[in-house]
Amino acid sequence: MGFLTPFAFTLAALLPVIIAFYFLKLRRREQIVSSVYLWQTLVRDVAANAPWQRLRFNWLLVLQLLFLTALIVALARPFSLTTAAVGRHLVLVVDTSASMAATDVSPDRLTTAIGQAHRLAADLPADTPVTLIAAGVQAQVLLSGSTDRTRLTQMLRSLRAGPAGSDMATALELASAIVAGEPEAEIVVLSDGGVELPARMPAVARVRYVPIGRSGENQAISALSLDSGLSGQIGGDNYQPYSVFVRVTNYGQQDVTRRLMLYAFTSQGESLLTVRDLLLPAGKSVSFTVADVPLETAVVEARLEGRDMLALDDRAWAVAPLVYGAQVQIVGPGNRFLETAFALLPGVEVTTISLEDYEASWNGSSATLQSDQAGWLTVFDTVLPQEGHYPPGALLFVGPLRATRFFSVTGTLDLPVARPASTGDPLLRYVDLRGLVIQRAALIPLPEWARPVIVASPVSGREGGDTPLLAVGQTDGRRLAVLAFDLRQSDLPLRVAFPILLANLVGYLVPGIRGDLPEAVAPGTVVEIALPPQAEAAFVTRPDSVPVRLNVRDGVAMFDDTWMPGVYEVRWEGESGRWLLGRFAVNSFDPVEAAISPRQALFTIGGEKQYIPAAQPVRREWWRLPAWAALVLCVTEWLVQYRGGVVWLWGRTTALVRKK
Amino acid sequence: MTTPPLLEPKFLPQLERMAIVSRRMRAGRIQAERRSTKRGGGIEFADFRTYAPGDDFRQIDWNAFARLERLLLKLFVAEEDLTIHILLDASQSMVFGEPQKWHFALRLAAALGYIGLVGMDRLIGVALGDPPGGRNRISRPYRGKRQALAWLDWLNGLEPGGTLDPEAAIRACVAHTRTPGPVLLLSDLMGAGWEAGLRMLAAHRYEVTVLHILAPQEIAPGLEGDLRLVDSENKATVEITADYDLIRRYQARVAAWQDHLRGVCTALDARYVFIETTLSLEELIMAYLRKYDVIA
Repeated sequence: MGFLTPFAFTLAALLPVIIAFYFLKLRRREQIVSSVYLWQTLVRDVAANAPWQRLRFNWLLVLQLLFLTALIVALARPFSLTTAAVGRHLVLVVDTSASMAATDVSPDRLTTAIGQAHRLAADLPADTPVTLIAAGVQAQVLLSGSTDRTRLTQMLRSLRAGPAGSDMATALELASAIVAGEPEAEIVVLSDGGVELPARMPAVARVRYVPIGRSGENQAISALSLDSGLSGQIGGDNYQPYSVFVRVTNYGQQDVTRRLMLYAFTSQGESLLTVRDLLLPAGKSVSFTVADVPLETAVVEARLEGRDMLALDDRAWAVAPLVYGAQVQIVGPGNRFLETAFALLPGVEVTTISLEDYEASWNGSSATLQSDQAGWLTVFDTVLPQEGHYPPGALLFVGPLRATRFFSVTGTLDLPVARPASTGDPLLRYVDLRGLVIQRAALIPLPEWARPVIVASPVSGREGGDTPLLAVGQTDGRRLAVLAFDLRQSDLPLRVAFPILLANLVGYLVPGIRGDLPEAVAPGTVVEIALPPQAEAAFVTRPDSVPVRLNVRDGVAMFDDTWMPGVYEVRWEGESGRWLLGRFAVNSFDPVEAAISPRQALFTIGGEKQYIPAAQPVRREWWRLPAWAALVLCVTEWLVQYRGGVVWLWGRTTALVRKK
Repeated sequence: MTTPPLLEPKFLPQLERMAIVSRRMRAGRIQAERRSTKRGGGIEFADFRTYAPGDDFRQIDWNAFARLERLLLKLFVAEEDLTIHILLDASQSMVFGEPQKWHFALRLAAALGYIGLVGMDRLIGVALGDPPGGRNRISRPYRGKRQALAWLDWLNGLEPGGTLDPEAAIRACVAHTRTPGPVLLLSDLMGAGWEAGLRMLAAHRYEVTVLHILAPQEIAPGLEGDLRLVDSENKATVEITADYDLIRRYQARVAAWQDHLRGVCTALDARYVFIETTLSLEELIMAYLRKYDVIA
């Protein structure tokens, strides 16, 4: 409690003056009456007004003293420091990111934030609406402009810290939109500051940031990978053990020693790979590699023993890609570029056969592979078999010279300029087409089953603009790709992009061979699962062993329930049974969440600009209360002084009302 | 400024039909319209008495003589006059109020006196405390309607003012008047000594009627604030802070005072009539005083 204008207390000198008035003899007005005979008997009752009498209790004196006291207090402008909300509409934005699970405050940051939210709402008048926004990976409005405090309590209790970051920018945009046109509204952000705001924030007025948390002592597994030791050899096996790469980061301000334990999971069970005590300097990372991890290892788990403020990032997982012994058969005159590129892919057995030998060995069924189990890719390099002599499995046509039942060739294109058909195509991931030289390509109209991946740029004076140079698709229960030019008439095989493009194509054409599944994703990531054409359904088993059935459409299934850190197992189901497609891990390697040190302001990305400072205690003035009290006391004093007239007036009014 | 007449001419015929009520029969000086303790030539039969020499033989009942062969005198209640005293408080306190108590009392005295004169009663007016500070001013006796103007002139000649010692004034009055009869006391009764004066009148067998006249400002004073009240008679002062409580207590005091006076009058077999000056004279005479059996 303080006073903004303590000088007003000098007016307290008037208090004894008022009291003195009651001591002093009053200057009375003379009034002639017929006789004082009747008044004399009452004079003893009014003797308080005798000169220099002793002070007697008088309600008027009390009221006047109280009035002056209240007035003085109001003029002194009393205030108190508070963090309570003062708006007419309170918007609570509660950070539910992973870092809010930190236990540096008891019991954890999110519970503390919920408690703060409760107190803020409790300090408001009952008719003040409250909006609750949970700022998790996705901002979500849980309560909009409600005065139902019970509902607010329920919603606050339902909040849980997520495994990933928070979309605070969207949450603030939502909050700003909700309170648009309400200048008296107030947005309160309850967060540990482990968020990043975009450089250009929406115009959010009257935002207060209440930082939650005290300590930033946290160590996290910031990287874990299981590097494949596989290397395919043309026509032979040469398998090498895995190696595990681990990085542990100390985000705290003190050097600590943590014990890291690595476990390997195989079909036989769990085994301890290694244990290391790591000295982690403050703010530094320590990394190491564990070699000779058994090839049969399916999953590696890293655990940081001991406790820190955030347990979420003390565990991480890495998965090994599945090996099916996939076969790639290249039909053609022999292409060193293709053979080398396929041989670089792990687990791929490459064979090359001439067209004559292919036709000679064609026996009608052709395939010896089990089409449901593994990938079988046949590459027709500048040659085409007789119509109908197509083996089961995926097909890749390279530089076709004539039309087939899958596509038609209407001509040739000279020196086409290649460009991506669309941005963000996963088949062109890490593939740079700039400067690619193609001497000649077949003019292939886009088949109905296909979509273009690489197209020829339209050039004035030339035909064939937007003609596909690479098209992929699915037809007749198989996946196909058509590369419209001969690799020998292009510098593509000499570029870095070539093996990458080929790897992406194999991943698409033969899912599972090189792991079209990502090895690891962040929590909340939507995983696109490419399934074999025979797949009728897909199942994902979550880390908590709960299976989730996915719908398959065009050989692709989407899975978005990746909120739980751990290993997810993907299987597909065909006519012949259910087959394991692969695994992927969900890890929280987000340094923003791992650096749990509470921040005193919300920063834009890169920390360039302090956008919302931490809310300091604000002065809440209390002058209205004593001012109202002074007014009430003044009116009361007047009523007491003139209560005779008031009673008379009341009586007259009542009588008039009764008459009516 | 012209003073309004004490009595309106149009009001006089109504007054002439009234009479001042006397609850007791008294021996008057002359025959009038009042019943007397004397037997005489009135109309109302009283008794028979054996004739004695010297009696008025006109009063012999010859019918009784024919039946009884005895000379009997037929006695009637003699109707004689009364001496009505109208005691008018002429102290300074009567010069107060709106309507003013003094002027109201004068008009009331004029009316009552006129009623008495018309009834052939003997009327004596006494101005208590008049002239200011001096002794009582007592009128000569009036009788008959013809002397009404003289009565009114006497009233008009009175000047109120000064202080009044009620007990002394009434004692002087009693000493001067020798024929007890109806006494109409018109006063505000402000001050001590009135009770003793009333007891004195009652002790001398006067038939007292107290007409207690107060102005509305004395019943519900509209006073406010810090005041020094100055007595109009003796200039005594009382300091008050007039607020709701005090005014309320004053009104309670007035009510208790009236009750006390009413009790005293009852004990003395006197009438007590409280009159507020806001009453019109006609209403007062025609209804109010008749209700209290002061006039009939």
